[in-house]
Amino acid sequence: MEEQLTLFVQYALNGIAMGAVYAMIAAGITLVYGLSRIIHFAVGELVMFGAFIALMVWEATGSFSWALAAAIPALAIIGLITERVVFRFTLKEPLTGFIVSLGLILVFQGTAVEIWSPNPKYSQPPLHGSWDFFDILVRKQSMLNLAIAAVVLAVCYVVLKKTTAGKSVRAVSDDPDASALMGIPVKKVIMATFIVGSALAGIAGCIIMTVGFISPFIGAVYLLRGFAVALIGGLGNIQGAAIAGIGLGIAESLAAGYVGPGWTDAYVFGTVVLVLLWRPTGLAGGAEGARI
Amino acid sequence: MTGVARSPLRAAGPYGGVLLLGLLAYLLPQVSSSSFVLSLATTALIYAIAASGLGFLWGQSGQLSLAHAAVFGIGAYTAAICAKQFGLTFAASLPISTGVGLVAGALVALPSLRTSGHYFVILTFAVGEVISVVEMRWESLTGGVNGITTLPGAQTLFGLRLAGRADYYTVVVIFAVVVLLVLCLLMRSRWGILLRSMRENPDLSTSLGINVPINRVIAFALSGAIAGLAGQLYLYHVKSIAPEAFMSNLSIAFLLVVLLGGKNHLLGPAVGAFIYVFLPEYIGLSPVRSQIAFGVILVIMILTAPDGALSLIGRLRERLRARRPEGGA
Repeated sequence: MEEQLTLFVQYALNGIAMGAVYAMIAAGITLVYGLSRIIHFAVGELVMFGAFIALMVWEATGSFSWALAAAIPALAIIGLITERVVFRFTLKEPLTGFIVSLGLILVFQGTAVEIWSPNPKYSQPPLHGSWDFFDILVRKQSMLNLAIAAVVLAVCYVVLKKTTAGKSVRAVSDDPDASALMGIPVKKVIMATFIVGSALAGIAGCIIMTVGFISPFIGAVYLLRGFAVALIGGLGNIQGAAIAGIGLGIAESLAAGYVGPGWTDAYVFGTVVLVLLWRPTGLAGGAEGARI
Repeated sequence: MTGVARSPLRAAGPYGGVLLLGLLAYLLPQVSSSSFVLSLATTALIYAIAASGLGFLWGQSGQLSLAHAAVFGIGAYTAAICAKQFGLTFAASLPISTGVGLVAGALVALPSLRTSGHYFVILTFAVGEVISVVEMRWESLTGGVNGITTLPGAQTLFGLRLAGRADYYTVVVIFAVVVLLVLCLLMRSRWGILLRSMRENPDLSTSLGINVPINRVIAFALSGAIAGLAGQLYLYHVKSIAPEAFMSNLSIAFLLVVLLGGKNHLLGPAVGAFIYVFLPEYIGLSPVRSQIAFGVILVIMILTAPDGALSLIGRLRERLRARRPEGGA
């Protein structure tokens, strides 16, 4: 009995660490959607890019901090470029923006294969070893990952809720026209969300690099998890994303532990389908509109 | 062709266009008998059939599905399982794979009764991914990651040998012409008008007594049946299938094929399919580089010419026509 409990806590802990990563991806999706109404489907590929850039830097320098420090600005720049070159022309037609992001999937995936070859790559986690609490093994890397994700999400939350910049983001998400009349630079705010959203995907990529294998084709997996979380949490709702992300992480880890890892993708994607059927606009947040 | 043949073509209506395309496709082996070109043309025609189903759905009823490749894959898997486990012939399994595609298409559509817009498209994407996982994991039925390779031996259809490259090409041409003619008939029927009215204004259509949900599901079922049929044609063309062939990238490719030609033209997806299959070979791009190039093309197309290449021809013609009287005066 006690052994089973330990195992359960073990699975749950692993799930929380992964769930925090999903929450970060979802926060990026939700920010971009909340302001531009664009469903950015290439976000999985951004995560993949972040992972590969982090892996390159980590292998070259042997420092995880450098890997983070390289991946974040690199992805922020990619976010800036995609917004300036394509997405800003699609703000009036969000469906066009969505199709643009499908094209970007092809571009990013192909570019990654060209640069890093199609083969999966494994890396040693930067932090080795684990702590032992009452027979529960807590890997140091998982805790570091969880800490990074928690800090990043907390910073996002505080910036959105407590600063003037965050207030203008919320204002634009509520009513872009009125915000423009109030003197908020709407277009710049939207540009900033693309930068921040992409950078969040980059940080998620750094973390994913430390957890398992990466390949140019992992995008769809993280894209759907990100969307599952964003939808369950309600598009445009960051707190919702954090809770839903951790919930999904735990559920997935328990399913993988008790039922077997092969079918976890089917459970996750099946959950997206069921949630959308049950509550077509997500569980929390409710409305088509965004709440940040 | 566009300049001279246009007026008689227009008089004959799009039916003539379909038959002309079929004739051109049929004559292709006379022009170039290399088996490589034939194989490419077969692939292009199969993509043309599948994408025409998507184009009909998107253009006429305004619904976009990212599960189309998955339904196409279901058709291919159904045909493979029919052949391997039950020893069915091509002709015997054709109604089954088409029927399974029809049901799958209708099932994909069911959520559209509750969701719409973005949410529905995300949902179709998720459904497609679930189907991929099932194909990958249900090993006893689908052979898992290795897929299915065995096929029964020599067969004939309409007196043509399915194993022969040129003969099989002719078979695919026949199916493409039939599918396009049926779609043409439907587009010009009252039902086509009804679908377009639903696309433009679902609420108004409902108020006029049109059962929007049922008709939407029927449109999806039709596009699913076409995808299932194309899936079987694909299986007998490549002779082995594996799950990664039908992942989301193929759905994006179908979407690109539809956009390339134009979703509002009957022949748009067919034109798009030939561009999609032949262009990389003629420029000599590697598959990865052509994927990048097509991603860029998709972005440029949706931003500059969302109605496709065929609409560009129309636009050019209008511009020329507008200029002519100006020049005369």
